[in-house]
Amino acid sequence: MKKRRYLFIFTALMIVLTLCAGCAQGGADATEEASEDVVTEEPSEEETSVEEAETEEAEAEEPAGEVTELEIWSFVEGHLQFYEKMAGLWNEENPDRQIELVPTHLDWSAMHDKLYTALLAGEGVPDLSDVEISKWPNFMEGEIQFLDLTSYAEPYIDDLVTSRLEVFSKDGALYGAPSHIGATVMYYNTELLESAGIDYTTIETWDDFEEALRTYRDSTGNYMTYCETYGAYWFTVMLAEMGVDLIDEDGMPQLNTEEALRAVNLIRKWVDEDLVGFIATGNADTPEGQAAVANGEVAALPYPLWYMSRFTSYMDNLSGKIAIAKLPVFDENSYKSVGLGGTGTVVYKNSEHADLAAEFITFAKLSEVGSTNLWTDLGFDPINKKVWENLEVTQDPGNKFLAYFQTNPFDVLAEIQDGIFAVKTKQNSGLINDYLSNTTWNRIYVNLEDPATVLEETQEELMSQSN
Amino acid sequence: MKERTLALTTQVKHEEHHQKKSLWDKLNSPKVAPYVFVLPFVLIFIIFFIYPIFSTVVMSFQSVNIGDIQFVGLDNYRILLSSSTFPVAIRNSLIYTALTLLLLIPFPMILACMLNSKAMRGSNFFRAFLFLPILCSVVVAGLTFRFLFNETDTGLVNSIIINWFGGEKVRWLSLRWPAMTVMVALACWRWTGINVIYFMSGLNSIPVELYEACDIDGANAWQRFWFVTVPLLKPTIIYVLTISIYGGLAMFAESQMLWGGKTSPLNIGLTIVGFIYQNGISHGQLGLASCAGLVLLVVVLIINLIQLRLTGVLGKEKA
Repeated sequence: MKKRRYLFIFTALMIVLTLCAGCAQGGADATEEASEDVVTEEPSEEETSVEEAETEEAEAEEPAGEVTELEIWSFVEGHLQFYEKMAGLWNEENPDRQIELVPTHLDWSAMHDKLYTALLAGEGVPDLSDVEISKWPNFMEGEIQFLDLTSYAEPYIDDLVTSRLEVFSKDGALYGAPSHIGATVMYYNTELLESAGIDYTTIETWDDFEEALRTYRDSTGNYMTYCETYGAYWFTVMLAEMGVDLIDEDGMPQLNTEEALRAVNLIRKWVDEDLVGFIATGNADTPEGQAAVANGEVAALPYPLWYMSRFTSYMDNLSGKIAIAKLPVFDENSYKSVGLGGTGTVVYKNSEHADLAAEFITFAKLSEVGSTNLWTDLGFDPINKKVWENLEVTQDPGNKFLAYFQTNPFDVLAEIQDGIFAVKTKQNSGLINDYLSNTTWNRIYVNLEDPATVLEETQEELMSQSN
Repeated sequence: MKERTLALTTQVKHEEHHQKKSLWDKLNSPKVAPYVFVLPFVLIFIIFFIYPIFSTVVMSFQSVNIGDIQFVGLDNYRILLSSSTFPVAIRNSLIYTALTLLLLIPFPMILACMLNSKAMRGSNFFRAFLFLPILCSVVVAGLTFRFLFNETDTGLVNSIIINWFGGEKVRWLSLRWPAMTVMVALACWRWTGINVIYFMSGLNSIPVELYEACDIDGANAWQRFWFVTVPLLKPTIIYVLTISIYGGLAMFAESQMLWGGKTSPLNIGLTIVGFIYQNGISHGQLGLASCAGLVLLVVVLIINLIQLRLTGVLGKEKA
């Protein structure tokens, strides 16, 4: 009898522990998600627009006519909430073409793996799905299974930053609706810089930047910024300014170029002169890297505008101390910024409701109202330029992003908008980024091997593995 | 006795229903029934083991893209052999496996003997204590170790090194041997408990008389351990060895979690399965990944065959 009771307690304990393990796993997934270019927070009360209130009213009413169900997958809960909000607005404007979204939230890698397998099998594919840029090239191989959205984007095209559409296009056809521009800017911790007597607004070129690194090191004994050993933001930014991409037109790696060597040599010089430090994980967008930024180990970093959400979500202590500014450049002919990261929403071409899904998603992400909500809800720098000119949106004192930063991201956007370089993302991009992250940077910046030789060997190795 | 009765009952039933032989009777007949019982296993084995192996072999000669599958001959094998990362992955997996074998067989065995000894106090508490880590999900464990071995001064292990021993901070996850240490430490933390359980069940099957005989012969504790316990634990040791070799070579989740799903600097944490995942899933090169998978299969097979041969499970039994 006693034994049986123990058995019962043990079984109960096992169930509880299994559940806990399950929850904990969910927690881990959440961390992974956080490293994507998104914010998952609910919009704060001030941001809840009138439109949203209207939406709720509209949803409360029984929709007239037939309602089409559209299945949609995303790896970010916040994106799905955004789509549902936009579906409400769509139903309001299209009473005869009502839709109802069936959202599925999966973890980042699981979602892309499932989508890929479903497309391979040709079964179980959702009508709509988010695809993150690093996974994008996998879906552009072979026979493309997504609907060409070009004609659906037509009504909005004049207001859009077209260079950003190219990222999700192949052979002139647009396959994904982008969420943001991902324009790269410089984030400066003005409190730290002022303590070293540096005025960030005087930094125009990389030479100025180097001078600031030196001043900061001399006067504080600390490093103003870090040497990126994982990821390729610094490198891509410098290449883009020179108008060069990591890959050529055919998607093959091009790392043995003069420009690549120039960029690497510049960073290597900072390492050699002990002007930049090393942070844990070598990347500012991991939990450890974010901690380094929050602790003041990093006073300047170049990241796309979606990094704003990292500040508002994880670095409360820096509120009011961070300025967003344009990137330093090589000379006046340089590109001023580059769009990095991103998520495209695709429509499955064999879906029964492909046409409706395409019309909805272009409305949700490319129209002015859609882009406005992308900014207010998710903090994305919207692809529709009309939003930039809407003072009610760009000067809204209640917006949490505008309240956090010293400078207005829209002012910076306006300044750089005609000089944003578009990088290509093709079949070998993931391979190249991985190889740079785990091998090339470590050999050049940590093991201090000769940059030219390492870049040449990287090129050779990647060419042999590329397809 | 029971089986006999059962057979008899079946026979009687058979005679009763001789005229109308339904499907049920056919399935229930002594000739067919065993196959029916084995069927689920055979089906699972064919669908989930034989078919995937077969299609992996086929895919290793293909370039696999959506709606576009082409035979590319030996291209994938050529890429695999010329890749500079694959040898690194194999080397890491082999070193990791060797280290885990060195630590995870002798120590759990000694611990099991200690826990089994009557002189041991609080034996039940320690059993539970050692077994706890295995209940923890590998994701949680990996993340926890990632933060314990954080490279900043404030990471737990580094802060102990700095504050208690006055040492310098170690860049645990950036350098080769420190990174290997973290992976092996994680493996030891997780698997010691389960290996202890295996060895304890092995110990329980050793007859007490043998130890009594030892005592009469005047053997000391070490002689008892070496001449009685170890030889009689041999089947358990071989079992643990076999699963540990496979477990070591197939390690993936731990390194994936330690580096947060990203690749490790200079591939210090890349394992064979990590290589398969990176190429097959992250880079969409399922053909290349299939090649690597087959290589893993062959490596594990060879190592385990050698091991089973040496330990006498396969082929001629030594001694």
